[in-house]
Formats: sequence, structure tokens, C-alpha cells
Amino acid sequence: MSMRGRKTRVVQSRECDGAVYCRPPPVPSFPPIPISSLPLPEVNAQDIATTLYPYIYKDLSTWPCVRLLNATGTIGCQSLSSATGILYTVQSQTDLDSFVSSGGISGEKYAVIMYYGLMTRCVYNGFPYASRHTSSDQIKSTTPTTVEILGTISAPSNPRRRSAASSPSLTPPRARSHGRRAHRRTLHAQTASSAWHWLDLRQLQFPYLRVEPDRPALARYAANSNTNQSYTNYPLNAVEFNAFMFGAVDTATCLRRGWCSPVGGLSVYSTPSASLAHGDGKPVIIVSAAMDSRSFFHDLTLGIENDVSGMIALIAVADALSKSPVALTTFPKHIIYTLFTAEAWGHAGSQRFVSDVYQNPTCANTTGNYCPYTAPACSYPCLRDLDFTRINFDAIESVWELNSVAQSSAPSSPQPSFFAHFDDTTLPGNNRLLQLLVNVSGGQQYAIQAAAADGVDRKLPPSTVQAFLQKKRSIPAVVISDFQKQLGNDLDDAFDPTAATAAICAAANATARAVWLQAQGLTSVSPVSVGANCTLVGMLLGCLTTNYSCPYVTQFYNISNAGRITHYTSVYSYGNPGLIPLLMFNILGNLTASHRGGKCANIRDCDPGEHCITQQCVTTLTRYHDAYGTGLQMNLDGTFSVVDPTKGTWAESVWDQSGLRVFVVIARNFQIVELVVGIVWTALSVGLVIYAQRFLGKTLKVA
Amino acid sequence: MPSIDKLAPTEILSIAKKMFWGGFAFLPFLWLVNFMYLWPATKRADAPPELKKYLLMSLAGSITWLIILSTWFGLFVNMRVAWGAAADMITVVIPKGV
Repeated sequence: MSMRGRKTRVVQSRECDGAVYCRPPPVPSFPPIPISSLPLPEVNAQDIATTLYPYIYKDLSTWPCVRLLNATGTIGCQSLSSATGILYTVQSQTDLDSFVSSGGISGEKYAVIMYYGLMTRCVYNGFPYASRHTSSDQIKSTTPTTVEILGTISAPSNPRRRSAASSPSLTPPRARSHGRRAHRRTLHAQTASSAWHWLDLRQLQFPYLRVEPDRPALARYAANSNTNQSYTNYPLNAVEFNAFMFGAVDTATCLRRGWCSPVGGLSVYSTPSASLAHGDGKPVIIVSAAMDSRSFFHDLTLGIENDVSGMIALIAVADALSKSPVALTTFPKHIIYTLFTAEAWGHAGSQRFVSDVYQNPTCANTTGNYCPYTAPACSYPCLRDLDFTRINFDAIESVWELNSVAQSSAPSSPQPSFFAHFDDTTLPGNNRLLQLLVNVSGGQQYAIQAAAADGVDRKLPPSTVQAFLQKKRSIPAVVISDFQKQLGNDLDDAFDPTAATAAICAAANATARAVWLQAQGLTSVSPVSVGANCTLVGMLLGCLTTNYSCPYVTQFYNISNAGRITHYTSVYSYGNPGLIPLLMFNILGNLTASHRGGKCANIRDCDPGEHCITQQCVTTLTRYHDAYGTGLQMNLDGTFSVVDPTKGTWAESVWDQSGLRVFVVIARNFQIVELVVGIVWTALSVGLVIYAQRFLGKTLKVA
Repeated sequence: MPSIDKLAPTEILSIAKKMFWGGFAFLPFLWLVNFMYLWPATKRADAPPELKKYLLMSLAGSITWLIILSTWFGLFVNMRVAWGAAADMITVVIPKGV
């Protein structure tokens, strides 16, 4: 039976943020059935297969390489049929060359097992693929050989493991459809040599799985056993791949057939201005960051630098501003925090949010269409609320984005710095933003300077800001990052949390003070109380990178044994925000609460319009906003279709539960002998039965 | 059904005509059966002269259908993906993953 292979997110929430997603329906209870009334067990072929299975196969849990689609094609992996191959260990390019030149055993197929970081472009190009496992282009580029590799397995203990998501410049052409090409090319050229950046957007016509840490020993043992047997002395260990992806061709085709879902999720926006109104005449300041990241194996996505650092910095900014000695509601300008998801996939979150704010969607409250919300503000398109229409796009005075700020990409210089990127350095509004940042960072550990300070105008790096400037290029906008002209190494699991915390805190500190000044039309120094809480930054960094079940998160809702969570956005699902947006919603909702009521255990204890956050009913203008490619459209029946292939159209294929199972194979000659013996044995059995039937019929006269 | 050998020549011709005209109702197998079933009757001495004509025309019709269907099959199999939504609409079971 086919199924969507996405792992179910289970959050035992004490409150539901006004959504319908987090509380499972009650499980109906049934009266117990007396054992005596149960039918006697029957022994059938299925039972025999189940009994014998553990003696034949050893299952391995794996993280799959999942197929994604856009308007022009597919990326990721595909395995059209269940494939089996002898395990072969590759530890270096030399091993691979030796393997290819040896030719292997005639007629046999192989599955390569290698470490996670070994799949460089060079190794990949050295792989010989059989024609039925490659695209036509790959056939031409590979050397004909007798060796057939069916798939690849990665072992997890790679010391060079890192996220591939550090470079948003790798957003594919169709997805990154807007502006600032020069800067992107620079970034791309600098990061293309990284082990994984080139691979996560490639189409692989073979399964590629990564063994989960619980059973790596078995995989390595099996492979090493084959090594000891010189890959020629049977029996040898083999694996069977199961990594079938339903989706094919492109997003339009896949959505039409119903075999994929839009990549996306829910963005979060929040403002302390509870009275925000479209026509109130107040300028709006946007503080922005991305929430998601990307890697080859989606479940392993860990974007410590890009996305987590900017996201945490934004929370720290909101926290700092919430301590303002002057109430934010009395400011002459609104401050809106926006956290966008699916930014790694065509900037889907920011593009859709800005598109909706710039031109509010036409609401058609028709009957009979699919919209799962209890009381939607608009039934088509299905929207839970229309509070985003209270944001006046023309009133946006400035946009501040916190990009990669954990200092992993910072150039080595006497003083660590952050860089302010602008689209147009000659724009007076941009100069004012820069001046504010320079002023507030003066005398601090981390300086802030213009990225174009060296005389090279690189425009903007890939960022959420671009969605705003695409609609109105004259908006003053700054992207604050730790890189000037190129992305350096992304942080991996072994990052220094103390150093990263200090860097994120410094970026948040400067941004909070600059925004505080601008929101009041001031240029002088902001008060000390408007400063980032580095303790909060450190806690969030730990929660979002190593242990989501940390005490800071559990103060908002019950969750246990979550551990490290993926930063991949996953697929869009009505009202299901995912773990990171859910946390961000609660944090921002708590920070921007305009009213705090009584105690609550869940949202049902609060009045309509309130949210139950940290066991207290609060009123906050914090909302989710749909995030999926602007090239996609929600249909009346709840499905999606492509309406503009030049914009973001990323979708994820439906896939069967992927996996590997290890078993022992004997030599092909023996397999043939086994087959022949089996046929002969069957024929003899049939003959014996017929003979016995006739004999008994003749002698006993029973026939 | 009576044996062909026991049928009168006029009856055989009548059957051949009916099956020939019936084949135009998009029934190429009827033409093929017409030819294969009645062709031995053309060897009889009293076989009507027109019988062979109808049977050969039935054979030609079935071969024409074979060519048409084979060509369509080849085109459909190879061009299904390229034809996009139109091909999906006329496909009973759409193959997954390709």
C-alpha cells in the first residue's frame, strides 16, 4: 500500500494557537471481544513468510533522498523498481577507480556503501551506471563498463558532515526568479566546490539512502565481510533498496496526478501594534528572517548558520524591543516581525506573503469548496484570517533582514564584523539605515560596515528582502550578515555554541537598537534596556539545533524526545505549521501580547481571539501565513496546480516508506542449480502424487 | 454452429458478407475471424466467386487495423509523457514514477 512517507509530527500541545492541527480526534472506544469468540489462527503463506523473514533479512532504517519537482523537471533520487546489489565499500576515489577497473563479477550488480561526505563531484562522475538507471545525458557522459551500481548508501559517522543549506544562492533558476544575479553568481562560484552544495539540486536516477545511526554497524559489518571475501568468494552480503518516488516529469504533471504536495509550510508574522490598521497612516518597519534550510537528505537538514542564526537573532530583537522603556504601541511607527518558511525553495514564504500584502487576494466565499478551517475568514482561497490585509504595503518604511549572523563566514580580521548589504547604495534611505547600524555598533565587540565598503557593489544576497523590493524597489532595505562577498563554511554539528551565541546576540543587539531608534525617528543612542538577551539566544540555539525538547520549548507545549529536528520546511499542509513555526508563533505571540488574561490549560479556556501561551490567555496580533510557491494556486477542491511556471513551483513527491534490507546471496551458478533442483523436485512430487493416486485407486478400489 | 462443409454456398457467402460489413463497426477481429473461418470454403468447387473477394477485403481490413493500432500503441507509449494532460486523460492506469 502506498503512503506518504513523511514522518508524522506529533506535538502534544497545551494550546492550539487558534488552529485545528494539533489536537488529535478522540479515539473511539469499543467493547472488549471475548477471546473465546475469536477465530482460531490459521497458518498461511503470509505467516510462514513473516516467520522466516528475520532469518533471511536484516532491515536497516534509512533517511531517503526524496524527489522534488519544479516547473522544469525533478531533483533528488528515484528508484523505479526494487533493486538489489552486492555491498561494496568505497572509502576513497582510489577505491572507486579500482572497483570500476576490476569490472566486478560478470552479471552481478553492486550497491556502494560510503561515508556521507565522500560523495564529491569527482566521485559521482566516476560512478558507472547502467543505462536503465541513468538519464540519457548521463549515459553519454559515463564510460561503458560491465560494473553496474544500483544505488548508494551512506554511513553516518562522517567527521565532515555539514548542512548543504548554507548557500541560498543555489536556489535553482526557476525558483530564484528575481534580480541581484551578480551577487548570486559570486556566491555560487565560491560555494560550488563544497561537497554537498552541488548535489542537493541534482537529479539522480538511482536510490541514495543514508543509514540511520541506530544500525550503522550492521551495514559496515556486512560491507566489511564482503571486503574480507574479496568480493568474489560467496556467500556475499547484498542489500535491497526500496526508495520509490511517485512523482514524475514536473510539478504540473505531478500535481495533476495527485502524487505530490507543494513544498512549503506556514510563515509567522507578529506585531506589538494590536491596533494596526491599513489606513492608520503610520509607517511600517519590517524585521525579517528565514526559518528553513535545505540539504540533500531532508531529514538531516541542519542550518545552524542559515536559517537558525537569523531566526534566533530576530527573536532576540523582538525580546529586546519588548523591554523598551517607551511602550512600542506609542511609537509613531509599527514594527512587524516576519519569519518566512520555504525560503530555501524559491523564497516561497516571503514571495507569497509580500504578494498577498501587496495585492490582497480576492476572496470568493463560495460553498462546496474545500477549506478545513472551522470558521475561515475566506473559504476560497482558503484563509484562516485576513489580518495581513491590515498591513499597508505602501506604508513600509524599511525592511531589516537578519541573515547568516553566527560568524561562520566572517573574514579573519582584527575585529569581527557584520556586513550590511543594500540593493542601491546611493539610496538615501539605505544610507540612513547603515548610519543607524554603524552608530549603535560603535565601540562594540562586533562592528557593522557596508558590504560595499571595499568599493564593489554586490547588490543583495539571496534574501527575504528581495520579495519586498521586487514590488517596490525604493523601499530602504538592509540584509545583515556575517559574510561580505562569499559564504564560508557552514557550521556543522561540532560548532562552538558559545561563539555562535555571542555573534547572534551582537547582531540582534545592534539591530534592536537601530530599529528602536528608527521606529521613533531618532538617531541618538538607544537605552541599555533595549539590548539582546544572550541567555535567551543561547537557549534557543541549543533548542533548535540539538534538543527541541528543551525546557524553554516545553514551557509552551508538551513535547518529549524530539532531540535534533530537521530544518527542512516539508510540504504545505492546511493549518499545520511544523515544529519551528509553531515555536516561533508561541514566542512572538508571547512577546507581542497586547493583553494578558487568566490562566489556561488549552485554548478552549480562553476567549475567542485569544491564545493560550505559557498557561496564560493572551491577545496578540501574531498570525500564520501560508507559504508555498507563488507559481502555485490553491484550487476549489483543496488541490494545487501550476499557474505561473516562471515563479516558485517546488513540490515534493509522494513516496513509499523507504528502506534497506541486508541479506546473503550465493553464487549465481548455485542459484541456477537451486532453481533446477527445485523444478525437478516439483516435477517428481507431481509425478509421485499421480502415481500414488493411480496405484491406490487400482489396489484399494477407492477412486 | 453448423460445420462450414454442410452449409450451402449461398449461406457461406451470406455469412461472409455479414461479417465483412459488420467489421466496419470497428470490429477488426470480426474481419480476421471471417477470413480465417471461411477461407477453407474457398477451396470448395462450388464456392461462389465473390466469397474470396469478401474474405480478402476482410483480411485487408484487419491488417489495416493492425497497422493503425500498432502505430498508435507505439506513439502512445513513447509520447505519453510529452503529451501531458491530454495523455493522462485517456490513460486508464497512469504509471507512477515516470
